[in-house]
Amino acid sequence: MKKKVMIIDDDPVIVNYLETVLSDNGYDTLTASDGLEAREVVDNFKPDLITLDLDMPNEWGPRFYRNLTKNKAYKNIPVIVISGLAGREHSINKAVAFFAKPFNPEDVLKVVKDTIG
Amino acid sequence: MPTLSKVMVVSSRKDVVSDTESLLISEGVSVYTANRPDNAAKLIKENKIEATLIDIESIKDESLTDIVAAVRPSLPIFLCNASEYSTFCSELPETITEVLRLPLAKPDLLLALKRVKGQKHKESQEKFSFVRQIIQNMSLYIEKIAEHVQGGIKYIDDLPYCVSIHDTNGTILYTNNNYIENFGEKTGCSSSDIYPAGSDNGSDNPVMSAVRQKKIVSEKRIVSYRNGLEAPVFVHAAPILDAYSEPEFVIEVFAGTQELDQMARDISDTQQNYHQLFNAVPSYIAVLNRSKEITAVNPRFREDFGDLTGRAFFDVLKPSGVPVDNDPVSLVMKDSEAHQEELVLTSEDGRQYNMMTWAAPVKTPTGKLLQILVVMADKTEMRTLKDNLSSLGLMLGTLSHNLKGSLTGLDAGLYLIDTGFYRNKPARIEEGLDVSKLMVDRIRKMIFNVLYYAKDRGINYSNVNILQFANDVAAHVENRIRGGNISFECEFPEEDLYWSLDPDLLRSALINILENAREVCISDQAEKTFQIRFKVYSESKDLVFEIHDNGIGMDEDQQKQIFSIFSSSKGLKGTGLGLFITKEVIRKHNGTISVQSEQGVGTCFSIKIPKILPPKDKTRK
Repeated sequence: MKKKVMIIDDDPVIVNYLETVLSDNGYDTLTASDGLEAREVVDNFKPDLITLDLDMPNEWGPRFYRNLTKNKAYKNIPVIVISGLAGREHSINKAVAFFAKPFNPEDVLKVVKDTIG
Repeated sequence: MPTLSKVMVVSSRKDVVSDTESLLISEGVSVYTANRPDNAAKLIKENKIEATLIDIESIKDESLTDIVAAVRPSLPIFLCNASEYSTFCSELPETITEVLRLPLAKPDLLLALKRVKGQKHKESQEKFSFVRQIIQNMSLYIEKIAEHVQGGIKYIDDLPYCVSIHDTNGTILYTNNNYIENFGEKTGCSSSDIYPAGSDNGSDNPVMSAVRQKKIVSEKRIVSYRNGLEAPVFVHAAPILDAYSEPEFVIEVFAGTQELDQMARDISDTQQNYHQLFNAVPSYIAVLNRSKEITAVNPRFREDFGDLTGRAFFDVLKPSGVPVDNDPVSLVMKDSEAHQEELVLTSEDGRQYNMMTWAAPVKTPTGKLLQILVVMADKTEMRTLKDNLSSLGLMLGTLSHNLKGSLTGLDAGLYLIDTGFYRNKPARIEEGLDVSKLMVDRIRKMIFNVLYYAKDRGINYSNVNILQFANDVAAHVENRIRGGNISFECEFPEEDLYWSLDPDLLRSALINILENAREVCISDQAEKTFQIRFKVYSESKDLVFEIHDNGIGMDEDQQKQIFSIFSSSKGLKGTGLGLFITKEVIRKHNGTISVQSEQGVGTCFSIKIPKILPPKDKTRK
């Protein structure tokens, strides 16, 4: 069974980019454009890994992450932060990795593979 | 020791003269004689005779009052035969008290002379006391005058003038407080005490010079202060003359020359330094007197507010936002300490200034408040600068963030093209190309908006053919809009329509909105036919531009914030400046821009540009 990676970003171009990269490399993908929408998707589909943008409307990345980790069922889902915000990597201190935009998709793929296979 | 040194005997009787003369000479008294009072008068004055013994036998037909007047300023002692003594005494006026029986008894004579001497001493003491009072009052008067003389006070207050009274033997009888402060207690000492030995080149001290010359002596002399310092002073010694025009006392007054010269130099230097500082400082400076009236201003103050010398400070710069008498100037008046406060001041022309105001006291060396120095820094400019810097910082932050996003998007486009070729997926290649073009557009817009923000320019009106203008705008965006699979419809006026506007500015503003509409449609994932309509028409006094799209639409909050600087909504990635700049362009045209939007339905931007006078009659920035 394919691993499910959830892509959370409010820029549809980046969502599409990550979707293409991940699906080209054998992953199923789920998407959401902000933290609120993402919560619903997590509840319904429980991804194996999440890539998370930080600067989003409605509910931004760090808040989404805090809410996610409060839930025992989800707190162990690994999170990779992909953000254009400078100096924000420490706001999610248990992220598996932090990538600043623009990023090298190969680097992201490697971390995903190392984390969930 | 003789009680008196010179006595006149007036009698026509040789025996009386002879007897009296013998008695007096035996006591060491110099004796002068005359047979009549009027003969005696000249001798009395010439020889400064102190007492006159008058034989009443020689003045039988004359009035006693006239006799007393004739022998002045000497004091009269009448000689009377024993047999006539009682009668004579009963007829004496009260002012005449000295009468001796003839023949004279030596003890009686000596006692009378003693009483006369006592009387003279008393008169002398009274005069001395009177002179001393004048000196003391003079000091008080000078102090009082000094209090009222602003500007001169620092000279008078600080003059170390020393005043002393001396007798004609060169003994100090009295000194004022300044004298005591500088030289110590010298009453009873010699007048030459304060003059160092050898400093006089063998001449008298000024007091004795004045006694000898019987006139005011003014000269520069070296004095020795109690602390050992020797310094030159200008001494004035003025004799106080008695009734014989002879010096009875001498008043000596002096102030230090060196100190005055140095003080004058110091003040001049300080004044020069302050003058330079005053004029060079880029803040507003005003000097106020104790009535809070302006006495001086620096060039910067004069430039912006005028020369308000003589006006009450708070009449010309009205404060608000501070309780009465709690402003820095009033506080300085209360406690003579420096104070500062931010004040909102309104000038006479109605302009408001946000001033950081410092007020400091200018005091005499003794601590008396003379003036108030007011320094003001216009915080309005600083605030604007701070705001501008904040805006710049914010813009750069937003720009950086969004540029990163756009570069990532460019990466995405290239990835799609690359993998499209690799996996032989033409659709993916096309998608990649679209994404890349979109990203390049975004980056171009970002840079343009930054340049516009950095270089705000005024409006250049020209009379524009609206049909041509609208077609031009449409042509700029048409290819890109149609390339995004979006239907693009235009509705322009059929007849020739001319309007005054800045075509370059307005073109950019309209393209901004059209490209936003395109981006909204491209980003919208909904399965529908997207359409953008660009409509231009005139309506009474306005030229109207409408841009409709049937994209994702905006909620109420987004509609409210859309024109704010640095606002950017979902899918509209940029500097956050785009619509803000569009709004500024419309504002410069005196126009309006409004938006109506419904989520899931679409958005309509409406721009109205009013009709104005031709460019040559109107200038506007």
